[in-house]
Amino acid sequence: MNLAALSLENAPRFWTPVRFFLTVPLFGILGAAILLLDGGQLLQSRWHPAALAVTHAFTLGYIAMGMLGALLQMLPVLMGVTVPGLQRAAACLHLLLTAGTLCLVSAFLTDAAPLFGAAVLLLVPALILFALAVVVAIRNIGRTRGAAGAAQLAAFALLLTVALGGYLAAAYTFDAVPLQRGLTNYHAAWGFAGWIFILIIGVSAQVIPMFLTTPPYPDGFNRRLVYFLMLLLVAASLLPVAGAGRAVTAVTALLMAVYALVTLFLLLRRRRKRFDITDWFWRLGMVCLLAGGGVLLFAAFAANGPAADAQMLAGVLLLPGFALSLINGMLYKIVPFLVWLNLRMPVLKGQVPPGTRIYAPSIHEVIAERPMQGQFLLHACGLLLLLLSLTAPPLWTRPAAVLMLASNLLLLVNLLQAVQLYRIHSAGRRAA
Amino acid sequence: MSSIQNFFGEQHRSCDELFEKMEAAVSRDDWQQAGSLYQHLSDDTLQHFANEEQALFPLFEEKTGMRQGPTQVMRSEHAELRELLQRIGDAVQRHDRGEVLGTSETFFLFLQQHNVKEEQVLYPMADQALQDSLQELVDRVPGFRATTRG
Repeated sequence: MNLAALSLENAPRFWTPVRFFLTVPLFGILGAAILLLDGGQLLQSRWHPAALAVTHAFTLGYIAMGMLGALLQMLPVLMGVTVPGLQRAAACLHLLLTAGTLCLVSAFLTDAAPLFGAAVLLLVPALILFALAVVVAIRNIGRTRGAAGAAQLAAFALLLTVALGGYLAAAYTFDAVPLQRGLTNYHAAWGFAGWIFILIIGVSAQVIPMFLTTPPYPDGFNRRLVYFLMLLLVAASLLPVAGAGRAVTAVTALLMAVYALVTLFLLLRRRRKRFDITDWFWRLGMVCLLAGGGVLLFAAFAANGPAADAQMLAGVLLLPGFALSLINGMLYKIVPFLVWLNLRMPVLKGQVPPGTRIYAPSIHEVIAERPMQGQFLLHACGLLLLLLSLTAPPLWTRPAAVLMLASNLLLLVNLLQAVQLYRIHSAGRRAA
Repeated sequence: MSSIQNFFGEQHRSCDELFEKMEAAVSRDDWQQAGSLYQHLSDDTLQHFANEEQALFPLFEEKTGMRQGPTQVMRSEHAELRELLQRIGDAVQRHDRGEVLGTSETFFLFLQQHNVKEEQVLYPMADQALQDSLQELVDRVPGFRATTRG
């Protein structure tokens, strides 16, 4: 265990995680803009190039961007992991992830082989190095239970996701590499059920009861869920038995539904009744996870295998519905806190004489409630219209895209306003 | 052995409960109740900090030789939390609902991240480092008992 881990000197500087968080809505805007321009064609098939472009704008640019930013903040502070050269490495990682995702999204849209190649070069080494660093760093602190253990397994899943994705993108780049579309299912399974879902299960065990004042998850629930998911993913990957994939999908879908139900049950028992936007986003996300699990479960038992529209429906429920909602809610919890914490840092580090008054706004004043509520409504309505546009004729696609665009613009404005508050007060202090 | 984790973690839980009740009383403008809950919360929180700063931390520093590390950070966070707690107390006296609820939010979030660090990193380390010195804690911390299970 690392004794220096709690040192404030090791706490990441303000911009280390915040640059990731500010980039999140930009990729939300990009995804919504592609949907708007496309007008709904992409919702016909998961193999549609624009569908793949939007999916990766969301999974890499939004979800991974938010999760990496949060991990960079949490690993040192909450899990006691120290990473040497963290600030500089994080800045590089952010640059590579942003540029690589832009390349990949444009590669899908234009079908240009060089862009796929560039995306592989920018994304694969950076993300694999990051995942390896997390696995090793957590192994070094010798604690593999709780949130740290889940983060380690999630990083391992990220490693496989990126390796598989890198191979698939290489197949788009070079004719010599055969495109094995069957690998896409493994890529998606490790990416969603492994990387995204396992990290959320592990982290929620720690943060939901503490920050949202709910009762704790049942003893060992999250740990068992994580191990079980991991076992299922490994089994599905190593045992290419006919029908195994379908059975694993069904069980995984069931686990999603169970986790969503337990979390919703906890959120309904919050002890503090005060307004909390993160609570709203998490409830919405859990409802979507429950529905997405239900659709997958239903589709797994369908006679001719899952229908294309069921896959698309599950995809919308699980990515924009579940994962985007959770990340969005998390940003509203973590960014105001970081603004406040970093404004108070001189006091915490004992750099000011005792008795000196250092102004910092209250955490709840950093972003006003109304704009956050407005953004939540835009997000929820956009999601609803997107779901409608899957069932009804694509009449609703463009309005859905407009709402999603507006939601992400407002998220960006809200976050920028918080950052601006930090800049004004920290600059004023330097000048004084 | 997780006597330290259990005892000090439990104190976090019980302070959280008082805090939540105090906040709820302020929300419904029950200032008499809020005042007495605040006093209880303040006494318990300051006692908990004192248990750590005067008994747990010095023992930890002695056994591990780490004087400038985690315990120093925890002390400075305690100082910040004391100041926030005092501001809440002043606002409760003035019946200033907005100020109580606003400062409470900051106090609560900062307190929770402080508690996570103690419960995830410091207490497990202390449980390891102080295995043979639990009697000293028993002598110095009111109510502390060394348990053998956990």
